[in-house]
Amino acid sequence: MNNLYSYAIEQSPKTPSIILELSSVLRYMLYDCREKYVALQKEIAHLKNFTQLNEMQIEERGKVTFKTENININYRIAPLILSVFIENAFKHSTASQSEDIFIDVKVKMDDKGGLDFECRNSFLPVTNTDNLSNGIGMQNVKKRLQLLYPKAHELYIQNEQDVYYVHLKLQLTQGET
Amino acid sequence: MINCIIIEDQPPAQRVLKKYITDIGYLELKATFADALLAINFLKKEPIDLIFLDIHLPKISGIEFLKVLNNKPNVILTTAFSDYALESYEYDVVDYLLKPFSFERFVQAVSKVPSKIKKGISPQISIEENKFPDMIFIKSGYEHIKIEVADIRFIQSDADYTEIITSARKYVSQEPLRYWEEYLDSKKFVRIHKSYILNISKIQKIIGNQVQFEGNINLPIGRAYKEGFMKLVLK
Repeated sequence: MNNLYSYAIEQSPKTPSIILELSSVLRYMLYDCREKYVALQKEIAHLKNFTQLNEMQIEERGKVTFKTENININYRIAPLILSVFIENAFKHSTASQSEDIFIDVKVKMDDKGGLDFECRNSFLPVTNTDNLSNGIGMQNVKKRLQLLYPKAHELYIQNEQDVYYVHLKLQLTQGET
Repeated sequence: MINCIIIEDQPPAQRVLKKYITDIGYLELKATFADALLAINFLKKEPIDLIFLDIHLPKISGIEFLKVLNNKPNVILTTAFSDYALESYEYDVVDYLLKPFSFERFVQAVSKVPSKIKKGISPQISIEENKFPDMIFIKSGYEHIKIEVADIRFIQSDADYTEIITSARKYVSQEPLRYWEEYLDSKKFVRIHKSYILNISKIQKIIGNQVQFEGNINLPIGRAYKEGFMKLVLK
């Protein structure tokens, strides 16, 4: 909201598209997420909006990429699982870096409904822990994965010196939503 | 002008502050920092009246920064979270702006910056009135002795110190002559020689290149100072 306000004050031509992204993100989080599963394409669209909104706070201080590959719209997914990883990526990189930030998100599918999600972000060891809430988001995601995708997920997290890498494989299901 | 800096990591929020600072007219932005550690070094070198400080910052938070800051300038916190409002009282901040904030709200916050600093902004009148002291204090051992400025006849420089001569006696000051020349009202105290500043109202007469005070005290007028001095006296 604050960033949006800034764009509005500057009368930036980006303002209308930011309002649309924001309203999509809010609508998705408030309404669509009441379902246990949502259409994969909705979740992907949400991830993209969410990434773009967060990208506003980085601007020229770094680079954010979002790539999708071979998304099959017939599949469904539990909402807001993937966005937690993206949210964390932004949080941790901006809590430790004021420049040279990078965040790379990649979502692809194989032909049998296997979803492959990767999120990489840069960070530095000196971090302002104020806005990091003790990993509760990550704990919740792990619990949700165990409940919703028992034996159908693989979560791999690698915490290297200055790059945090999440790799999640999910076996999705088809069906009406 | 109030000298200020911005400590804010998000470019859009920086731009809003920059715009407001320009619009308000009496703030001078000296620098902008994306993290507080960079600002600490700057603050060691530059005197700053006011900091616009974000709380969620890379590396160390705005609150941690406040804790380590000695000689705190005025601080206006800017944050998107109200969680820290209560805690911020401990650090004696001027105001707490919840992002996004309007220009009106910004002006309200800045107007709370203590007037000690704001003097520079508007009233030239009060500066004219109060700029020159009516009395001075001279350190002598452990005491500070008061001298009425109006009683001073002249000030004489003597190597590393100056002597202040009143009708009654002589005082020794550690300050150089140049200091007194700037400190006192130049309409009343004028340099007539590389070693003398005198109080015009105490002069008895001017004889050629000499100024005479009561009690037959004569001071020479330096050639370089004569013209300026005569102009001032005979105007």
